[in-house]
Amino acid sequence: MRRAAAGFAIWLAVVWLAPPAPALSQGSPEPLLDGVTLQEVARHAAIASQIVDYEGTKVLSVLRGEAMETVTLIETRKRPGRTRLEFLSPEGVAGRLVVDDGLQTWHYEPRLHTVLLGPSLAPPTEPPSAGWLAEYSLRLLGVEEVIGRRTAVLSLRPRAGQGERRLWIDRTTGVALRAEERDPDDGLVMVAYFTRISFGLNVPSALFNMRAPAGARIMSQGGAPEKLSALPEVERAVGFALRVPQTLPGGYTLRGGAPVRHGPLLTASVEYSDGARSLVLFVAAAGRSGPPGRGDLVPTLGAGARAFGAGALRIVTWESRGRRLALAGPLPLADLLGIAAALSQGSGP
Amino acid sequence: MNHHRAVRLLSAYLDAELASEEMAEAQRHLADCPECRAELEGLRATRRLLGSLEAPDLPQGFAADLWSRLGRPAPGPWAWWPFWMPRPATAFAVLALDLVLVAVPAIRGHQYRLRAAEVGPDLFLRRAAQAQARDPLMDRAFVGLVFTDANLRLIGEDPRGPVR
Repeated sequence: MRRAAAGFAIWLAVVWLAPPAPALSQGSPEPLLDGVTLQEVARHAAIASQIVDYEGTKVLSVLRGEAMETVTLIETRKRPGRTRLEFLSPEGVAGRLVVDDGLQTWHYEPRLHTVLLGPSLAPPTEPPSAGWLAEYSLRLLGVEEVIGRRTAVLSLRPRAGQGERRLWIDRTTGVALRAEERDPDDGLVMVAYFTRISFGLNVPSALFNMRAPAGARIMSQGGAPEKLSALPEVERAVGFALRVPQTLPGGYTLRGGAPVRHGPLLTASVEYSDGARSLVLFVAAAGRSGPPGRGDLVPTLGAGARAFGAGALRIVTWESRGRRLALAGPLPLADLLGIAAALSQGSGP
Repeated sequence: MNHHRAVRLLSAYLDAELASEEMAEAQRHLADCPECRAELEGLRATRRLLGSLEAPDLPQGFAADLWSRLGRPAPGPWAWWPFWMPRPATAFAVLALDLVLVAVPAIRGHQYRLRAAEVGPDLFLRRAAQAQARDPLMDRAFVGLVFTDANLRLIGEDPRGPVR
């Protein structure tokens, strides 16, 4: 598989190194760049992390409440699926280290001298299935230079939603050198871009072998990769029935679920995917979990309904038929509320 | 009031236990009867004499010994309490137990509910960030930042807390 991916990358590199075709038109679904379609460009970006090693400095800005928070970090990737994030600024996150070896995530917080072990956040190793972007409208916005490298600027808009993702995809490697998440209400909610990047380095494997510093407190928060199960299995684990639909508006289909427990909160998480993005529906007994103390009130979903989030990731929580529900996903609030309302009105939980 | 009746009532008269009409009749009779006045004075003298006597201390175990001689167990401090009602200590204990049995789960349930509501948002953010990692086009640094911030909040720490 790795040989095929490498071959695909070389082929793409050869194709993309050629000068841009004058026929390059915005919004064209037709093959472009000597036969490479937008879908193939997006697919190349999706598998780039499986075929390219790199190390670079990244600036990440995330909307939090009314303000954007900007974080600087060094991002290192090594095949297959290993990631290291070293946060440089601001002071509150400086020194934070996240090492994902593809099996689990080590999060070291220096000011607390604590290591938190969690599940791996590595992207899937298998390439996206055919039609994985069927729910999206792809558009080429142009060709731009980012830190001296030629990139194709790709726009992905969900056909049933209002948000937009823009990616500046490196023509040679497929790595997104800049990414933006846009929201019709809040505008730019997340932007990440490299200010420096080096490809093809012989990145030492030792960078991804985390050892807890001497005397550090080690806390486990579920180190094993979480497996999605069939809903009856989740129902048995949480002790109540899950009446959730098989599909959600916007082309999201059920992938499976898992019980999630933290302290007194036992909830079932049910995951949906549109091929690229994931929505997670959390279901708990209403008597076991009250409304959150933070977030903006959402009167349309009843008393106690609230919305909150971080950057592109938003959550809306409400009560319906004796259940406390929360829907989380990288969608504009209006889209998330629409799906939540459909869930409340339908035969779901 | 004749003399005989007045003599029988003198003790009650001395203790002021007569009804107002009988008290008035007794006073009228005493005013006319020197014998009854002498009898009344004798009663008063006896009462004063008895009142001046000191009550001796009973030996330890006297009451229990007395009751055992009578063939019955000694009555406890709540002997006056009606037999069909639970004694106060028992009643208080039962009431307290009821309160504990009802209140503790209710309070704990309420606390659990509040705590669950408190941790919910961060647990949801953490889990949702984890799910976004499956999106091959999602920015890894963004996922890492959201995930680790939620990690810290779940252990009760401020993700942007002061450097120690």
